[in-house]
Amino acid sequence: MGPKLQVLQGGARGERDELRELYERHGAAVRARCSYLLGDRFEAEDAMHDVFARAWRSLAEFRREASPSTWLMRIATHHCLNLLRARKAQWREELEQLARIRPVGDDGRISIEGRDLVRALLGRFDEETQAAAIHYYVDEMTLEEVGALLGRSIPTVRKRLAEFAKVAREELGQLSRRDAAAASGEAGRGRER
Amino acid sequence: MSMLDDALHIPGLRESPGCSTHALRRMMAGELEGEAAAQLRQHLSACSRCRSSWSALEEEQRRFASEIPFEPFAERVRGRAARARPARHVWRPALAAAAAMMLVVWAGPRLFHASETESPRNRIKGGGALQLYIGGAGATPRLARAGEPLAPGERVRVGYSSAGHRYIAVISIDEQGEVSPLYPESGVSLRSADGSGPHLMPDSLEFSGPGFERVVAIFSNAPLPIEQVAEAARREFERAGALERMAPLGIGDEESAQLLLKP
Repeated sequence: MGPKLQVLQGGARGERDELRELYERHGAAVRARCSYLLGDRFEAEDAMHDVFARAWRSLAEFRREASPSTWLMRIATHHCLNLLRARKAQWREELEQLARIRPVGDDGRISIEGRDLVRALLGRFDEETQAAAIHYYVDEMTLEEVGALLGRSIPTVRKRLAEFAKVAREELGQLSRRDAAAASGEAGRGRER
Repeated sequence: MSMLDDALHIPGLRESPGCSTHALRRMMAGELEGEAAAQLRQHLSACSRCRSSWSALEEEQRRFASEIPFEPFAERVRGRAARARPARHVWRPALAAAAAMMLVVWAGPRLFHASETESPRNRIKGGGALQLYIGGAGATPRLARAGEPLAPGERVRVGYSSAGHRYIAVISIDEQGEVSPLYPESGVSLRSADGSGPHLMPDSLEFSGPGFERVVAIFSNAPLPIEQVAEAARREFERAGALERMAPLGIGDEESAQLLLKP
């Protein structure tokens, strides 16, 4: 992370302008992250305001960041994961729900959107793996970027992600089998396969 | 796909290593310049997946601007930022009360020998150490145990043994990750008192707000800006996710930390 030229804002530029810049540059991304993780629109907006309040309180730190986007996505992800942990009980149903509402695949294969699968599987993992999976699969950061963001080595990040991918593939396999069973059950008028 | 690590592969996700929503977001936020921006533009021109991601981000931006107007946003953010700042104040004891507290503390030298900080990993044996004393509310001042609950009205006095380190900086952090510089409140680390100590910092502190508070002392042989210490604490808090999981901040030459439970 090399030195970065920055104009230090004095009194001339008002707080309003700074806040407007945060809003314009990063508002949509932070809201999207909160919606993705929390689902509920109002809860997501609430969380979004909290994330920006946090950035606003740490403005000096924020300005020194090489990538304010990365910083905000890290804080937003962390904040929402904490909120989700507080309602842990719902995790279990995520995948069931996802299996029910997913669109029917045109080729008879699983058509869960990858992001949704990642979201539904989060409850199985510790917080670090959750964050790693979100930043890697949803944000599509590189292993290096995820490592830097989490303060972990690349092999550690790779290990967490491999665990995540393994569970995801198993779940996809099970859902496929269940589909196949349902399809043959229909064909055989409710007969269990 | 072939470039992706197979162990990390989930069908439908990250099919191409060149595609990155994060990079697109950074470009949209004006964070990519020069070579990086040129590379991404080139990728965009060749990759239909990323072009549609880019359109989706533009749409997301439009929806955001129309659904979340700036003025109420600004007001809520400012309001929350102000509210979340803990209403923390330094209690300045009347002279007599201060003297009484000092007297009791100093009359009990065994307290110091029994001193213990939260956990050995936060402290190198025989090195600089933080000692917190609880007093006020009519209680006899006592050395705080790790995680000790404070009664309403009780106050905390910060003490330390510097073990030869020339400078000390003390911050505290609450369960929301809000960091308060304590000694000094601004500027750079304080020159620590000579001698083995323990030495007491001026004034006693009243911590307000719910939950735990972690007090961290950083010993160093060169002065550190307190804001740098505060920043390291925020970072470590974010990483750890909770006060009790925080590791040393990795700043200065030595550090010592202790948790207290606020009334």
